[in-house]
Amino acid sequence: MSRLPAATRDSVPQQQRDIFDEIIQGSGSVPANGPGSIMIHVPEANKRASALNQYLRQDSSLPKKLQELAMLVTAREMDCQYVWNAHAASAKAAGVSPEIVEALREETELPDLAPDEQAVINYGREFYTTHHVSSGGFQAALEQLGKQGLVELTMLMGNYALLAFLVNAFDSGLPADRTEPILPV
Amino acid sequence: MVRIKPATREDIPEQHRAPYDDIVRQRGGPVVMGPGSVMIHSPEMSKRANHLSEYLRQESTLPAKLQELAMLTTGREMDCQFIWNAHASAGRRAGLSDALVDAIRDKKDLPPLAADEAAVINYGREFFRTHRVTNATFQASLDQFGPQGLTELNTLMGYYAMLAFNANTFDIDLPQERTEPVLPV
Repeated sequence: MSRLPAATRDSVPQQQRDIFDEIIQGSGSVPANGPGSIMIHVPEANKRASALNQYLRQDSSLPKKLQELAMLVTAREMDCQYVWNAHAASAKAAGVSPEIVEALREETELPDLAPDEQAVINYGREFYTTHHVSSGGFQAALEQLGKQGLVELTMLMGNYALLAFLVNAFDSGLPADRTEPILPV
Repeated sequence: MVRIKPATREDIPEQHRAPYDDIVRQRGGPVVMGPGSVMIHSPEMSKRANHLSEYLRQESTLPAKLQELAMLTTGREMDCQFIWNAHASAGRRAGLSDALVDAIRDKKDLPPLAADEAAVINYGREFFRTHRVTNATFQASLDQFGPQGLTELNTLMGYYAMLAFNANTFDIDLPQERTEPVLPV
């Protein structure tokens, strides 16, 4: 149950109503849950955050599979049910093995990983656990992804942590048609 | 010591040079300091992130003093020297008491706080420490800032956590003309 009633055209700041209309035209309605249901309270910020997210999802040099893995690592580290649920199935569809997804979810021992998968998981876990990344963890990620790719990975993980912060703090609900097991928190 | 050198125009792939040039023009020169010097390796991404930041810093309803407090709370929770150093004196200038800034930095008991200051600090600390915000803390922040202000506060803190991720993992340097004591980490 979200802690706030859904935003309406009348509830958002008056000078941002045109942008509210623009966003709703794109999505069809005010989202019922997830980060979009929260950010729509501030349509201008929503629009700018969506533009950043679109770059990270559609234009970044990071392959889809590693993007999805980065989101799952972030969701697990942030204990974010919503992001986990939104990406567990799409990660598998993008080529992350079901064994990796399950081991991340349950925090059990990971199966054998490809070097790029290993680099993404270590990088995210190290940062969220210690707020730093060791020289070895940084160098491995840099060698796998290059400078641009590593900067984009960092921003993707940071952006999904931002989304996790919003949905966890506002307690935005899960969609009704959920198919994935919930994240043990 | 920063782990990768700031990007020069030649480092940037051809198709990203237009946004690179836009950023250099806007900043009045190459970006060689701070999280921006990391993000510039992906110029279009950097441009979109800057656009969100400009909303959060210049257009949000949150008063400058509380913005600075949110950044300092985030800098402390993420152990981010760079953000701490960039905002400790700005926070003081914006009206935060020296006793408050020093206590956050040194993790000491906080002095008596105004209700809005307490709401910001509790909201950030709870999320970064537990990945949740209690009902009482959420409600206190909502009472202080309303749906728009609280969404802006939350997004600002998430954005600065993302900057901290960049700053800490790439180990960016502090400016030489530093005047504030370093953050004990």
